[in-house]
Amino acid sequence: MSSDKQSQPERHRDLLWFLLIWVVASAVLTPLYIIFVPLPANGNSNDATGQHLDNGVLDAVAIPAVLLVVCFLAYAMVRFRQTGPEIEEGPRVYGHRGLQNVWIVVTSVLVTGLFAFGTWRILAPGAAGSGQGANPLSPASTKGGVSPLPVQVIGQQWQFTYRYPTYGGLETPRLVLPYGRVIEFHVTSLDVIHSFWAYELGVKADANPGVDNVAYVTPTRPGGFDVRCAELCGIWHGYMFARGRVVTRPAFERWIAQQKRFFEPVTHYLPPYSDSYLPPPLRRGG
Amino acid sequence: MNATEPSLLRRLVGFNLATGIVLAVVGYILGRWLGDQIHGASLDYMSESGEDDVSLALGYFVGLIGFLVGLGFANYPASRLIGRPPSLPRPDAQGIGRYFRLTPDHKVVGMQYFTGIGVFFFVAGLTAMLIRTELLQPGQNIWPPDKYLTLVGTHGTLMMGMMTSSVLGTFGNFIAPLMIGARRSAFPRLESLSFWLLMAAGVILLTNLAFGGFQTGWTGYAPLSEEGVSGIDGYLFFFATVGLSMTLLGFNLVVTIVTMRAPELRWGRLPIFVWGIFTTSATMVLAAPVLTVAMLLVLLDRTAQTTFFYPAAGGSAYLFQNLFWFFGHPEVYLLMLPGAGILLQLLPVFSRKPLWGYRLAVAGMLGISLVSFMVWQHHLFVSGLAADLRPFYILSTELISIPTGFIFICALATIWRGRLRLEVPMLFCLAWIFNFMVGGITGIYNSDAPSDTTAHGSFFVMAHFHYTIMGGLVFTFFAAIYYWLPKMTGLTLNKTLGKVHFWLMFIAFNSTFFPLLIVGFLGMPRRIVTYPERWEFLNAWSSVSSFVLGFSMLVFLANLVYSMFIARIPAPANPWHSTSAEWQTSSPPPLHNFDNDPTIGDPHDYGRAPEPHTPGLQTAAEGG
Amino acid sequence: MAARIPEPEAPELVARNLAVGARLAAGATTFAFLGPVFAYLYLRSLNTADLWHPAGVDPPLLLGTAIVLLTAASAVVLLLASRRAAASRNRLLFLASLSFLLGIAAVALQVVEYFVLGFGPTDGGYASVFVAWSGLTAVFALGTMLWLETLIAFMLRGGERDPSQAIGPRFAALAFYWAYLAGLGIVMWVCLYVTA
Ligand code: HEM
Ligand SMILES: [Cu+2]
Repeated sequence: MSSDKQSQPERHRDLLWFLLIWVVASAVLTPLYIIFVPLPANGNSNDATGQHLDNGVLDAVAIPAVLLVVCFLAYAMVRFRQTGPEIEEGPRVYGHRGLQNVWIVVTSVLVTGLFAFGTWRILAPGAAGSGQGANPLSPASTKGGVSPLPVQVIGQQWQFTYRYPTYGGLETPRLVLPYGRVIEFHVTSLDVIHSFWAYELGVKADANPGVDNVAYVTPTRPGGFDVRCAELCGIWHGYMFARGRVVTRPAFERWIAQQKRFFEPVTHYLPPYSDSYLPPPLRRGG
Repeated sequence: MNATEPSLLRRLVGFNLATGIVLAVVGYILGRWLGDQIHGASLDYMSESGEDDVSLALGYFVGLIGFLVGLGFANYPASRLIGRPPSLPRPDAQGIGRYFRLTPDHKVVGMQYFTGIGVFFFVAGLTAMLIRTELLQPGQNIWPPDKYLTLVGTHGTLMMGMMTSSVLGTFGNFIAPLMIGARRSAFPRLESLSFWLLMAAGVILLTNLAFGGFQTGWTGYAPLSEEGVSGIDGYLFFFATVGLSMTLLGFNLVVTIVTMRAPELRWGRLPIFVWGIFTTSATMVLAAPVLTVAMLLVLLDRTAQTTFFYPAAGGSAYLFQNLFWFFGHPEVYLLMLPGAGILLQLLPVFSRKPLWGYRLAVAGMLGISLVSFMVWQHHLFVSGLAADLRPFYILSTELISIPTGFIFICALATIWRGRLRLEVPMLFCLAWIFNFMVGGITGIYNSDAPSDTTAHGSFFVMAHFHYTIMGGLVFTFFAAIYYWLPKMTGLTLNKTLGKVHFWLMFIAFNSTFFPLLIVGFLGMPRRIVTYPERWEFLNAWSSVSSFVLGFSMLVFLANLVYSMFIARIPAPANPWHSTSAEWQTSSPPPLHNFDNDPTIGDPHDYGRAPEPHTPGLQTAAEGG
Repeated sequence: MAARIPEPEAPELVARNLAVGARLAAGATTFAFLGPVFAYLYLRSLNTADLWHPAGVDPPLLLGTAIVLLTAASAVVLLLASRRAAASRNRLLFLASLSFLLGIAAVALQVVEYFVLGFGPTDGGYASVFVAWSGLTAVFALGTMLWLETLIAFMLRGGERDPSQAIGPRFAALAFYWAYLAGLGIVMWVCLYVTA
């Protein structure tokens, strides 16, 4: 420690100043960020609302962490900068057991906390709108008796179509959903991998050929939403989008009756409803 | 050593790049011809498509062999097969010619990597500019969608394939042996082979443009990659070859570091940069073969008609995703660890203070490379694959933040109360801390499955990994260039241009990618050629910034050309006042690296004469 | 052709490089085989479209067993040879050559097997895995046998009499790697032939 010209109190002053700056910055900026940067969409469905909450929690951890580094760098660059030809040596400090252990404990606690939170959020409310494969955890609200509305999402190059198995296997290129009822999406594909992304509803599930990928959502207010393909699926991937609508139950019934009438002539040519559709087994060469 | 000069004729037709190219072309033609024979003989369904993947794959393969034979890689194996004794090749001491052939000199290979990767970095950067030009405005502007996707794929693939080897190939090969006091590397021929394979791979990838491009992105998910045009063969062959090259590169470095350290250099005294190289190489040797084989399996599906990834015939699309990310996730840490090594090596020098918490930093690196093999399914949170395992992958992914945190605390505490000298390499290092912080924090949003529901497949992810790769790896790569190029060439890089380069790059980089984080959370998916008008402002902002970012690279190029070819100011013997072993020899180092045995100090040496060795790591790392 | 440096490498260094290199190569090889192994487990458990293993796709058990036995025998012989490397030159040469012949025979039989196979790569998941896994093994085995050939050729020319050329460590590294590869071959045999 011979070359350390700073005295003990001076050293502590640096640390205190930095901590003060960081704490104040975090206390001011974190709430501001959480309030004013409301991403992603909020309030349209249980999943969207849930994800909004998740992001808020993550923000509350992330913003102070970023600020820690930013304040630190700024403070250090201003306070400890040296110029001029004379090279001065810093103190010979090799480490600090205490600080090291505190750091390990704090990061471990944070990480475990985030893990516990994330796991709870993915287990509790029907997997937060993400695709869960063929054997899903069903959301609590469907256990109460009201059956969810199954909607099959079929991806193909380069469009999604939708089948409503409880309405005679109707297949339509438009997606309309009633609100207030649990929707059970069954996502599959006829060719390559697509991904069904209903942005405002907070739903994303990959469409794999030969796979039934289930995702749940309960829309909570009427309105339009974007449907986009979120997995590169070939040349026209960029054009694979459409609008969907969430409507009231009576409006939904009216719409579906009209669709049934409209598609009546073709519906019975469709293959029977099933979890996934594969072309007949293909045997080439051999 | 003082062999007679070979005749001019010998030098021209000897085994060098020119011969390699000639034989590559011959081999390519031969392979295509061979493939056409096979094709004609059996797989007649192919004539319907008008494309012959068998022929193209064989063309690439035989062409690659021809290239290597032309460079002289067959000579030694052939001589061994007829019973000649094992031997070391003789390095050329002088002459520009040694950069164009098989060389056993790790320093020449380092320079080869530097220039070769540099060229491909600029090509890939150019494609990035073209992508951003298309996205300047909504609507389809300058490219039809298939060309656009080819550009995106070529950019991503070239960057990933090349930049993974950037630090290892350049500084791992050149500097690490010097730091450990070695006079050569353990397997010089393999080291050289890894370089030439990489270059051949880069050219193979670019030929995809002649065969319809590839519209799969760098991830090449099957079954999309199985139905596509022949350009995809180039992509597959590129990654297969790159995987092989990376395996060899890592292999040579691991063995070199294990066996060829100076006698007194125990593991606990290894410079932290060498630890970074070591952990990266070890991870690479294990992860890269998975990539090669995964690509070969897709190639088999496309040529021999196996059905690995074809669900209608007994395969599975998930299989490819699993194999790809089992390589792909360690891969992203292959991009991060060398950067951390450079950072922790350079910070002490420019803070005039020993590295804080050496052991913690080493533990961090080891921890990262270990855990990186256990997280791959976090790329598949919404895929419907093994949904019950998601909590495990959330946990393992977030666990990686702990060792990453070690590296952060070591970096920050090293700076604290130092005597910071904001030289160009130091600026790039400080930028790493900021950029990687953003990259790491945005990573938390991806690792948390509920919030990943929105982030996955969007521009958010795209911006996130640019923060980690470009903001992490590429910034430290530049730090290392400014720091070690004087060592490697004996010439000084211009400081003013360096600072201009840094500030332009730092500001433009953040201004390019920060808006893309937002646009991703607003709902913009990756790899789309057009987008709704409501995202125009952010995209236009990002595009314009990216042009400035591209311009900053030109500033660097100008600096390089000016300093290396015009100004040519000799570098001082030890411009940064470091006592690490690589500065104890002349710049550039002589053929056998050291005229006298270097003094290997301890990892805390950075600026003053090594003290008579008292600290002992134990007390050094934990005291104070 | 690259002229050679006259001074040979220090024998201890050669030995260490080869020993570490062989172990590292074994690790890399394991990960290379992860592709087919993963495909095997995965496609087998999924059995998409009931096409994992359609009826009539049967591997030639006899041939397969012969291949794995030849490989294992070759590896055992080489291990024996490397243990006794110092004892007697002729004995070493004999065992090494025997190992080489056994190994090459295994590779040759593998090629023969492809011609008498009753199915093709298109016949479902199992058939695909079979072709890729056995092919990869054969390629690695061939490479290892070429490595062995270099050592035999070297001895035939009497090169190992030069005291600075340590032949023992070279055999040790090779034998380790070959035994490891043979072990992977046995795993393959169990997966592809026995429990298929
Ligand atoms: C010069 C600065 C760079 C710019 C302006 C840039 C820009 C972009 C853009 C706009 C995309 C996204 C296209 C899309 O998804 O629609 C992209 C994708 C990508 N970039 Fe960069 N990039 C740069 C540097 C790098 C570097 C240094 C690397 C890695 C070493 C890299 C790796 C990738 C990868 C892997 C992709 C994904 C490609 C895919 O989706 O398949 N980029 N880049
Ligand atoms: Cu799609």
